Amino acid sequence: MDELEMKQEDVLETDVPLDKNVRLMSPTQMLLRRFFRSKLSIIGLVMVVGLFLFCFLGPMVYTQWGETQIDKSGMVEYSTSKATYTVDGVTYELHQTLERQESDNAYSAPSASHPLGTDDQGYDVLARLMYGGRVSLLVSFMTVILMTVLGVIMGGISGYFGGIADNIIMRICDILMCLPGIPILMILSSAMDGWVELQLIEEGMRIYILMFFLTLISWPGIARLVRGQILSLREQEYMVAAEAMGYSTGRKIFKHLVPNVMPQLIVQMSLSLGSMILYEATLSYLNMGIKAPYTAWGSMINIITTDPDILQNYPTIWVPAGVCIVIAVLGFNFVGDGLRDALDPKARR
Amino acid sequence: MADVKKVNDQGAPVVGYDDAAIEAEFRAKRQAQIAQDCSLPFDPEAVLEVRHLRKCFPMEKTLTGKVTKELVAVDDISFKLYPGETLGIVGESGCGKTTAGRAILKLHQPSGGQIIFDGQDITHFNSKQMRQIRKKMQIIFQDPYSSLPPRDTVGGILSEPVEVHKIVPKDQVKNYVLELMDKCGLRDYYFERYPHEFSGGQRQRICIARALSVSPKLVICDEPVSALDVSIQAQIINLLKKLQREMDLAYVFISHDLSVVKFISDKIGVMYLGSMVEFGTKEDIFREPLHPYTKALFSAVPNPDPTVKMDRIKLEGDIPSPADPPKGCRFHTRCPYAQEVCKHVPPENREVTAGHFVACHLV
Amino acid sequence: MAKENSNKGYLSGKEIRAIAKSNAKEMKRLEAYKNRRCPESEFLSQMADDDNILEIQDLHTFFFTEQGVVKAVNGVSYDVPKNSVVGVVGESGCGKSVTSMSVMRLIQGPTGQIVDGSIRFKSNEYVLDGKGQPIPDGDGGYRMEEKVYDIAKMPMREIHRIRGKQVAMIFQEPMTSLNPVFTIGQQLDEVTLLHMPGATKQIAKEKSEDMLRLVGIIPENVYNAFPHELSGGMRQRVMIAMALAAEPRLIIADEPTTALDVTIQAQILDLLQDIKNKIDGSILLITHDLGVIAEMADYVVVMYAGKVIEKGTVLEIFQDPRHPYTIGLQKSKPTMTLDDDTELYNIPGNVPNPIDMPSHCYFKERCSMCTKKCSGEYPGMVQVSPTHFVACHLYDEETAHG
Repeated sequence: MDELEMKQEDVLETDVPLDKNVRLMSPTQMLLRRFFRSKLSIIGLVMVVGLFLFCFLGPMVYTQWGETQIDKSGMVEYSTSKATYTVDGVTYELHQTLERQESDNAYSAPSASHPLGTDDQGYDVLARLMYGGRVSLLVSFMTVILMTVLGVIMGGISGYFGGIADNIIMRICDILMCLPGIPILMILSSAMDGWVELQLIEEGMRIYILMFFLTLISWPGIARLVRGQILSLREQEYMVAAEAMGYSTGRKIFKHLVPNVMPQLIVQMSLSLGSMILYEATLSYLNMGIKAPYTAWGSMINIITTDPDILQNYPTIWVPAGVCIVIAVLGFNFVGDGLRDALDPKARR
Repeated sequence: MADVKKVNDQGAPVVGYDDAAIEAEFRAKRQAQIAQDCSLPFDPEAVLEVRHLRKCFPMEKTLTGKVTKELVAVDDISFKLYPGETLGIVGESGCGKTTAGRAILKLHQPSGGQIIFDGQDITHFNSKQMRQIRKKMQIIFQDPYSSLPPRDTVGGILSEPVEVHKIVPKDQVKNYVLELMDKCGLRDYYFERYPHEFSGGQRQRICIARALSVSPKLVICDEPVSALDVSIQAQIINLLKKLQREMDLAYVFISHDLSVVKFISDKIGVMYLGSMVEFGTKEDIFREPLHPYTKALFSAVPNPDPTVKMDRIKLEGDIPSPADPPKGCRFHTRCPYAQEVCKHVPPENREVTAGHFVACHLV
Repeated sequence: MAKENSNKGYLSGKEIRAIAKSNAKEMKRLEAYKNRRCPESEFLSQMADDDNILEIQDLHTFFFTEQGVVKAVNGVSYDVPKNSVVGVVGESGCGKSVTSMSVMRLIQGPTGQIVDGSIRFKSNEYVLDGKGQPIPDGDGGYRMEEKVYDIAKMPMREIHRIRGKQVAMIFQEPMTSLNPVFTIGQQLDEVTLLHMPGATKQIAKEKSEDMLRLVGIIPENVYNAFPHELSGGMRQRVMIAMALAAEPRLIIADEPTTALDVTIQAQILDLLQDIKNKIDGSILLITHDLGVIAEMADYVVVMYAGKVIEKGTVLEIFQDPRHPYTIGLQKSKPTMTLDDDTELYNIPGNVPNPIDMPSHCYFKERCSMCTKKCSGEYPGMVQVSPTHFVACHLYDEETAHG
């Protein structure tokens, strides 16, 4: 019995908690583990990172050609023709060689100096692909960020304060969601033609202004997401606890609500990036995009509308841009899906 | 009062009760009572005094926002609480005990009555005034999983209120929090950990530490142990008792578990469908329960002794919906002793012996 | 991130990958075993004691999580005798529910798997002819035969033989256990139509109404009602009626009253008491509430951290508890009759994390009666009376002469 009592004291003093030896995953590890478990998200990440390296680091490695640099090395084309005619029973053959010299090296096939050939203006396709990608990615990123900021503010106000503000903002959302994006932008673009003539705006600004308008009509998706999240988070007991603690409204929103909306927001943002790239490409394709000599992926495809010959005979000019768009959209969507699975604690498999 | 009868065209009394008249009389009487009680001076000793607290939630509204139907979640509860005391509120689901707790903290704006906290009538304080008073009144929730923010470390969760309310100078916050964690039985290396790594009992300790970090005078414990295992329950109850002794806290302990309430409380209020049917000291209530509902509630608790066969007071049927409570005494639909008068006349809250209140016609 | 990596409290990336790799291998093997085709003889078995309806022997049910293998049920053995109520009691995470889910084979794969052990169940089923039709016995019924299945070895495609028909389950959440788009009548009829040979809609309806009457519901009011029109107590009654409709030999009630109010709980307990005497079958009652166990059960199994630590008749467990955990559990619950209210007895510490269990007694860190032996290997089951077993080193001598 003595031994028993002594032992009890021992236990109380050393008192090594069992969970001290138990090792779990940290939150970051858990997130990474879940994200990288899916092969698709790895592929998506490789695609996205690859594209970014290609567009932003590529021009530093591939320095032969600049974005607006036309290959002036010239192109010499010889065409020969033969004519025969008979004078007094004697047949003469006349050989004519014409030398056509052009200063621009356009339509060139892939070669050592132009890995993807040149386009109709004599620009290097590879270089244009890189610089065009910068524009496409930058424009979509800016749009998405702007749209998210707008959506978070609007959704935050309507979710947190409710009442009349909520009603007004949600009705605006409803109206904006009824508006068809592309037709409205087309109308805007033709209106802009006038402004360009009046020199109110510069031609190069067109795509940026258009995308800005796009954010103005595409924030409702984010706003609704944020509002829904905030409504459900507000009912959580830790928010009631924050209220009971007497925290200020700003602290409650920015310290307690917004960080908990972030996961869903990040997912939504990466999915929107894909669709914004498509939007930009569509606008450029419809000739509302960035104007020559600058380019974007959509504009590079736009070439095929000017000359059916290019569509048929010179795929090296427009296919690479199409491939880039596909890779970008797929990549962002894969990453978005992967993040959604990783961030959703319920979707455990 | 039970004599208000229906009168027919000739003025002759009809057997039965005129519900409308009874209700009108009951209301008028209560209005007078409330007006009288609310003008009384505050008790300087009491940390919390609740007078005729009432909370309604709108159920149906017209287009213009006028409320046409209300759910009376808490209907006329009153009590006083002194420092170091525990009031237990017992009741089944839908009896309004949680709403009552939150209305006292003004997390819900009360619809009527008075809340006097620490010598101040806080019933009509605005949110800015409330923010000052919040650190003196805290709440602990039932679900230790949803009451901690998931993306903050334990240290962060506990330091935040200390910093916001400037309880100690900034450079002492960490020491203060570590001391607090030690007091609540949390190890210091938990400081860097996230809530999801802990079991329910440890999370509840974190919640308690958070509530106590601002050194409150009053803590509302909303079913703090019902989500926990038996062995952990005992730890948490002991911890709450220890902290009460050390910090002279007043608790409002809300629970559906009678044995826990009996163990921790000094005073007990039994709630049924929004109103308090019996109120008294623990000795009063447990030695001599008077209300049939209290009796039934006591006998329904399963006894962990297989040799004892209990004689249960069986309650028939289910708890009526609080949205549509029965007329008269709210308990009459399930009461084994219900009589005609119970179906029509709401019982008054009467003081049977000093400090022991019962709302029943039969007592 | 750097801070977290340096923190020794977390797994390293290498360890995580090693866990994932070994898990994937095990899960694949067990999943294949679950989905195999095999002749009946492979999962037929023999009861150790013919009076039992269910014998669980050395059951291991593991969850292969990313953080490691959770041994939710780690060598559990207990029996359910015919026409008795066996109560399984323990705290959350002790594996009591996982054991019962294993009996129903409801463990969610591929993460959760029955790794080892046997679950022998004596079923009573219709003899089928070559075309899969039951053979009439000439008395208006059908010929029956008893078979002993080892449920743990049964492939998933054969589980329909016992699920619902032989073993029924009552869940904790009456709110979510009924399908909201069908009426109570439709859901009850379906059980009979599915499990009774030759049942017509008329027969099924009569049977359903009988069942509703049995659980104290007037069928006229409820038969055509939808689940959302009923209160929690009523729904739990309907759930019990559904479980009874197929006349199972074993009913598993998993915390049947936990979600209910005290007064409603009292009603349901009375009902279960009543039904226990009326039906020909056993009840496996799983709960954390000692009071419920004391009122309902004939035999009690106490579980802790995936192991059975004590089992015996209800009187033995409540009047002569042997394991320090059982003793502590009973002392730490405040009772209505307790008058001393200074401090409640409590078991210190927490339930150990189910990953990385120590090799010694799991209760050692929380135990107030530890001896030197407790740091040794896990204690075996000691028989202290013909029906009373306990897994604790304190009673090791008793086996020597008992």
